[in-house]
Amino acid sequence: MGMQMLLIVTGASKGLGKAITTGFCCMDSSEQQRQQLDRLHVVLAARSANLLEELGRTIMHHNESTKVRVTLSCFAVDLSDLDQLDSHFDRMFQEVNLSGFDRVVFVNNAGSLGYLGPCSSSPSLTGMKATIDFNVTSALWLSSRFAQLVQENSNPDTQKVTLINISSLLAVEAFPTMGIYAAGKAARDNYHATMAKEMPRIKVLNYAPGPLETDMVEEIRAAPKLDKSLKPAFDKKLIDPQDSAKKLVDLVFSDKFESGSHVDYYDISS
Amino acid sequence: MSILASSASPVLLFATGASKGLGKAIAVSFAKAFQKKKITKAQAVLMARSCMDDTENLMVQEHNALQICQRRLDLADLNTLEPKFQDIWTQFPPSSATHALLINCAGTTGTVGPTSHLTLTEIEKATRLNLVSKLWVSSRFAQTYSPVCATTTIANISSMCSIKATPTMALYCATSAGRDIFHQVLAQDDDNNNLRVLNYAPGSCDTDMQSFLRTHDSLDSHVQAYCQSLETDQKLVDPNETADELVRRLLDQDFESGQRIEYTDVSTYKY
Repeated sequence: MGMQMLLIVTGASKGLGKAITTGFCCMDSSEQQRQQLDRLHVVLAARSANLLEELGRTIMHHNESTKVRVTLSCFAVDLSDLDQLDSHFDRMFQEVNLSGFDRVVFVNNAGSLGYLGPCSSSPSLTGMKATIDFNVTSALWLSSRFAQLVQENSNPDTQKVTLINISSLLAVEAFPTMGIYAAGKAARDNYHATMAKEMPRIKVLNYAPGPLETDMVEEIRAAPKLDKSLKPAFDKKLIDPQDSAKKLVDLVFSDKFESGSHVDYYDISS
Repeated sequence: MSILASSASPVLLFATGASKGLGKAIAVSFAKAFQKKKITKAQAVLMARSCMDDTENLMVQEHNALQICQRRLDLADLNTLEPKFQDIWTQFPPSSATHALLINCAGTTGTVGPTSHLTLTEIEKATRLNLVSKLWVSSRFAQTYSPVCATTTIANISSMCSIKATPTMALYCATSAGRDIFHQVLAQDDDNNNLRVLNYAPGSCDTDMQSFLRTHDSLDSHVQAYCQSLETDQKLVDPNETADELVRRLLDQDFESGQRIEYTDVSTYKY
């Protein structure tokens, strides 16, 4: 019997989240054979039910002609709502038996830019709290709950568990007018690096995907108070999220990274 | 421009977490330094949840002409944060000082324990105080004082944990890292070149925070052994010494804006 894989992705409906999802779920047959992929259960979370449905159809359609049995659960949820977070997580995992899988991959991707502009003119306290709650509080909690689930239900001898925190260059290098985004990414990196030290049974990766052509970068380009020195970096054709997703997928399957490390798209040789 | 260059220029100092530990030591170090350099027009606004009489008395002993004001507030209470600071900044406006300094010291270790056992409430509490509140205070301070004052300086009290993932201290590690980089960006954002920001990691100080860690049930055993060895080997940092160093750097403006300074050499820490 081939490999049984469980994939969970937050922020899955567009951009990098979608590319990572299709990267794992819509591999060509030869790649699927290489990984000996037999069964794939996918749990996706994002705000848009419509976009998730569309993504689900893409995945199922692709796999009609492959040998992989694919099952899908989509959850249209707002992960920035702390009050509902626990019940969202419960719903996402209530039917999933972790011990039934050889490989479990959790991609903690959902996030937002927050205010772009000089730190000294950051808007309201409420705005700051909302940004931190979504990008840090919620994200850290989801990873912690996942870690607890793994601790209680997985067999370290037979299962490979990977937790990917979608990071950024901003986690390790400061750039003007991107303070709150950098703060969130740096906090996430260090939390996940710490989790890696605590839990050898999970391989934790802080993956910085590179500057991508997504809705998020359109937001950056349109930001009136983005530092002028950064404009050239964004006013050009950037990385196709599918390219970045492919590198991540290859990295996960190859296991060629140190748990807890920060790996950037540009660090990975083609 | 050194803040000590002209002893007649009014200096305004804001210090959070001023009731005990490092925050208290820093406030007292300032009083000592102001006295030594004959800075005559200095106002200090001390902020903490609990009474700061101890701090105030020690400061008065060092400098009897300092104007000291205590403001009791809980930085973790976001509902009162804005009105309380608005009050403070109205009472101590930027026009009243040539040099304004903020020592952003108050903070929490957050719940100590494995990430897999942390609750959402515990995570939210740590991010609320250590990130939301502190980043907001630094931003608003910069916004209020740097357009007006000749120098505006922010010291973010950092930690070894901001650059070293420490088992069972994930909340402290995460929030310290977030704060550090925010303050680096704050330094880069400055258009006026009169805002200067320092990330200062004071070393493992002999304060309540360290004794809390030494005896904590859920702290990782290796980390705890390390903390205990600091005490037995007498390697704990005297908060007054590290405070003096911080104050010297701030008043001499002896740092690059956005720089991170560790009082002790982090590379020797192994656990």
